[in-house]
Parts: sequence; C-alpha cells; structure tokens
Amino acid sequence: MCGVRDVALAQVWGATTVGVEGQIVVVEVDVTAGLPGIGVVGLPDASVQEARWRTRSALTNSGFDWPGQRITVSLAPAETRKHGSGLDLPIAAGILCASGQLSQESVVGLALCAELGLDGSLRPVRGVVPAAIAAARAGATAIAVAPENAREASLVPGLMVLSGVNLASIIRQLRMPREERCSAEIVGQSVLPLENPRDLADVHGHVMARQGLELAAAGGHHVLMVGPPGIGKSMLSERLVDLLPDLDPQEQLAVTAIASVAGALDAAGGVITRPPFQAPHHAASAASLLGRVSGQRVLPGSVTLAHLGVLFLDEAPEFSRPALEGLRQPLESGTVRIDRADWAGRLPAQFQLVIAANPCPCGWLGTGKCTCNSLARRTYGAKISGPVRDRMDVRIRLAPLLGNDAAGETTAAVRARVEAARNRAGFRWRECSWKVNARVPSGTLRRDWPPDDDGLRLIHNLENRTGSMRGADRVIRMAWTLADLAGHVRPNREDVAAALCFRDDAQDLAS
Amino acid sequence: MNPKDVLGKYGEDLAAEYLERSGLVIIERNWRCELGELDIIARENADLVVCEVKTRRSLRYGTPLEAVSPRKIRRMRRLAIRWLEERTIHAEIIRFDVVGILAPVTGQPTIEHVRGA
Repeated sequence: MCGVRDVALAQVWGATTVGVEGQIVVVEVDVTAGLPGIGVVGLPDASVQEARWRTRSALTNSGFDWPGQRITVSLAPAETRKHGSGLDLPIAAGILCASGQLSQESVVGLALCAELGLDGSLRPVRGVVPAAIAAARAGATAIAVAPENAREASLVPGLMVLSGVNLASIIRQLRMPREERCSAEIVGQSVLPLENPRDLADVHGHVMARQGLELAAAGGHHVLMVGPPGIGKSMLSERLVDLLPDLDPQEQLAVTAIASVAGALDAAGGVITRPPFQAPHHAASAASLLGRVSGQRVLPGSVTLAHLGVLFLDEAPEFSRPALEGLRQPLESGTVRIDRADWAGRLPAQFQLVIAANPCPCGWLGTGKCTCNSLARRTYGAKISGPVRDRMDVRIRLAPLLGNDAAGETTAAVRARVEAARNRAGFRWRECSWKVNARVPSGTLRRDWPPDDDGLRLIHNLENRTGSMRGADRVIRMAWTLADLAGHVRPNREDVAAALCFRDDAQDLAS
Repeated sequence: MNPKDVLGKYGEDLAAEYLERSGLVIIERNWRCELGELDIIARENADLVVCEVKTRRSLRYGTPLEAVSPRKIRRMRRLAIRWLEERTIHAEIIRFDVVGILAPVTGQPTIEHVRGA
C-alpha cells in the first residue's frame, strides 16, 4: 500500500467509563503480515466489535489507507469488559500509527474518546466527563473528543481539549507540533436560568414548614412532611433544593460526571453548579430508583442522579416496598451497591431525602373528614419502615390554611441565611469527614458537641420521657443547625426547644 | 472457457512462475476432488505449501487478498488433508499461502505473496 511505512506496533489511550467512573483503556494495534482482516481482543462488547466496520469506512472515506494486512487490536486491561462506541477514535488512531500514517510520538499523553461515522465524522458519546477525569488522573495532558463533547471535556482542569468535525481534522492537528495545536473552541455558557420559576414566596402561610425547610437546608437534614392532599407538600419540597448553596468545584465535577454518564448533559450545558433535584414518580421500580445495568451500560438510578442534591419522594407510601427499603443502604453509606452479572460496583448516592405523605389513604386524618378505618391507617403508615423513618430529622405536619395567610420571604433571602449557617457549620467541621450537622456521628455529638447546660437539661428530660437516645441525637443535631442559623456559639435552651418542635412523635405516619 | 476462468488461469500461471522464481518447487497444479480445487501445491525446503491464487482486474471490490475469507482458508485445510491421503505423502510442516494478483487491463500486474495465511 502506498505511503505505508513498516511500523507494525502502536499504542494509544482510549477513555471510557465503567459504572460512573472513567477508565483508561490502552489500545494496542499490531499490523503484521497475513491475510487482510481485523480482530479485536480484550473483552470488547458488541458495540466495540462494530468499531472494526466503522473505523474501516471512516479511515478510507477520510483519505487514509487501510492496511491490507492482518490487524490485531488489543484493549488493556484485558480482564474488564469494554463497552461503547467511544473507542472508535482511539482504534482508528492506533491503526494510523501502526501503519506509519501518524507518528507514535504525536499521540503520547493524549486520550481519545469519540464515535466515528462511516464518513469519518466525529460523534458524541456519553460519559465524557468521567472519561476525561480518568485521563487526567492517568497523566494525560490532552483529550480528543467530538465537538458536541468538547464543553464537557473542558470541565476537567489540566486537560487540553482537541476537537474537530471529522477524523481528518483531528489527525491534521495531531500531525502538528504540540505547541501549534489549539484547544477546541468552547461554545455555550454555563448559566443558571435567569429567573427561577419556583420561589418560596409563592407559598402562602405554612410558617412552621418554611422554618423546617430552612433548618433542613442549613443542616442537610432529611425531611418528612405529612399533611392532607393539596396543601402544598410538593410545592414546599420542590423549593428545598433552591435553598441549598452552590456545589463546590469538586462536587460540581462529581455531579456533572454522573449527568454525563446518564446522557443528561446537552452540548451547550456546562458544568452543573446547582445541587440536582430528583422527583421519581411513585410507580417507579426499585431498579429505576436505585440504578440498573443494561448490557454493559450502567444506568444510574434516581438516588445517584440526586447525589449531592435532593431526592423527593411524593406520596411516599405509594412506592413499592423494595423501592423504599432499597433506600436504607444509600441513606446509611451514601453509596448504592449494584450487583448484576454484567457489572457490580458502587455508585455514589449521597442525597438529602424529602418524603411527603398523606397521613392516611384518604388524606384527611385529623380534620374530622377522614373516612379510613384504623387498620387502613396503620397499614398505610407502616409502609415507611422504621429504619427509613428513623433517619428523618425534620418532621413537618402541615395543617390546612386559614385562607388569609400572607406570602413569605423569597428563596434568595432564606438562602442567604442558609449559606451563612452552612459556613459556620463548615468551619466547625473543617477537620471532619462530614460537612453538615445532619451527618455528625452520635458519639462525637454527645462527647464533644453537646448543647449548653440549659439545653442539655431539656435533652435529658426528653430521654427520660421517651427512653430514646436516637431521638435525642436528632434533636441535638437540629439544635446545632438552629444555633448556626441564629448565630449562637453553642445550642442553648431556645435552640433545643425549637428543635423539639420538629420532632413530632404523634402516633400516626409521622411518628 | 469463459472470461472469468481465463483470468483465473492467467493469474495461476503468473503465480506459479513467481513462486518458482522465489525458490519453491511446484508439485502439482489444479488438483480437484468433489470438495473443490487446490490451485498450487509446492515444496519450500521441508515445508509443504498449499497455495490459493486470487486474481482481480481492479480494486473496485476490494483487494485480491481480502477476497480470501477465513472460510476459504478452512476449506483449503480440508482439501489439503484429502490431497495428502490420496497422494500418501508425508509432510512435517504444512503451510497455507495466498498469492494475490492485481492484473489491470492495461499495465503490469502486481503480485503479493502472503506466507502462512
């Protein structure tokens, strides 16, 4: 074949994903004497096998030579399954290197991740953010992606992003000396919607519930909200996420990586700076809530998509039992374990849970209009089991409005207080593994961070009355958050008393 | 003979000539049985070489070498076993080669020889 020097062996870095983590795949290409043909080894799945056909057409249609010899492509590490069309581009580049059409030196320190069209065009793939993170970690200094993925790839610090509409334009850049290569032009802006359609000011009345939300936002506490239908549970819950502060850079990358794997990032959308909000329907299966595996691809569930944000379960008792019980593990560990034949591992799932429920099946318990019998009420409440219920710090009972309730403060006003409180808490826990009061372990709380003496007396009273240490721990955590909001150095009697209001130990659903 | 077979015969003659110039000793050509045909059987030192010849006029339908599929190679193996049984020849090493010939209507033909396909 014309212009083909005898180089034979080449090595190129491909970047792909395993679960929601990125992985570097070393693509080795060997061109040897033998009948023309290409074989791919190293546990490729069907989509990687198809790369043989796509790369061949893409190379020849881009004006490159397809080596008329035996081509062996090996994907290392050989024992993990490789999936996705993102390996098309590194395989094509490897073939060009092995056949002497591109110098091996030009791909050193470069990771590639894009699908190829038959005409040589570069197509976007899912999961570029984690792939780029893995590339940077492995020591790559540049990554080549499709134009639609350039913005995502550019979110990872320390990586130069190369992009082009097709294979020929990428290879043209790779043939240039390094210092003459230029980063892809990044279009689009990472912008928040200018006006937020949801504002706390829309919610009339519900003073107690507002305070509860502010408390939850400031301390990262899980929330249980109970009240009759149509009273504003969903409206309030949806507004919690807007009260939370922006994600820090590390969190932004983590959340954006998950969205990238789920295919939820559009080309113009940049890094996600706000905490995510997930509100799965109550008919959602346990698999869709917790995450599942389809072929080689891991599909993150709502708990992972809500990582570092808010997971809102409206009409919670209507969720299936496996779905609700499946929440116990992520609530406990902040990760969700997925075990399937094709993939097993952990996905991040550290969310703030908000559960909204009617007090009984008809919804009118406590108003005199309830038509449920006592067994129906009990069965309904029992759907949210003790272990899940136990983790709900802030418990809010909504009463019907009187009809003349005024609009309250705006989201912005409350968020300012929340941020101030979080800063105080963040400073206090600066040397700990947790950032918010809700996650302080019980032992530390009791030993090192009790309320002041007056406050402590109230706690002891509570323990003597109810006999529950855990319930008292919840009160202390909330008292800390209330102290942060009020600017107290240490929770006093007032803070503890206020925290007690959100404990709600009535015998129905909220108990 | 139809034009396709004429081209095939021409290619095989070219291949035989080429192999002999490369130092192979041709034992038999166009051996047939009900399973099919072996184009060239030769010796190179101690090796027994079974050779398939593929001739093309142009690259429109791919290179000549590409036209030799793994299935065709498998058939060559079966045929070779048949041939050995019939001739009662003993060979230490049997090698399967392919010669691809591109013979455009005008100009010189080009020959590619793949050893051990």
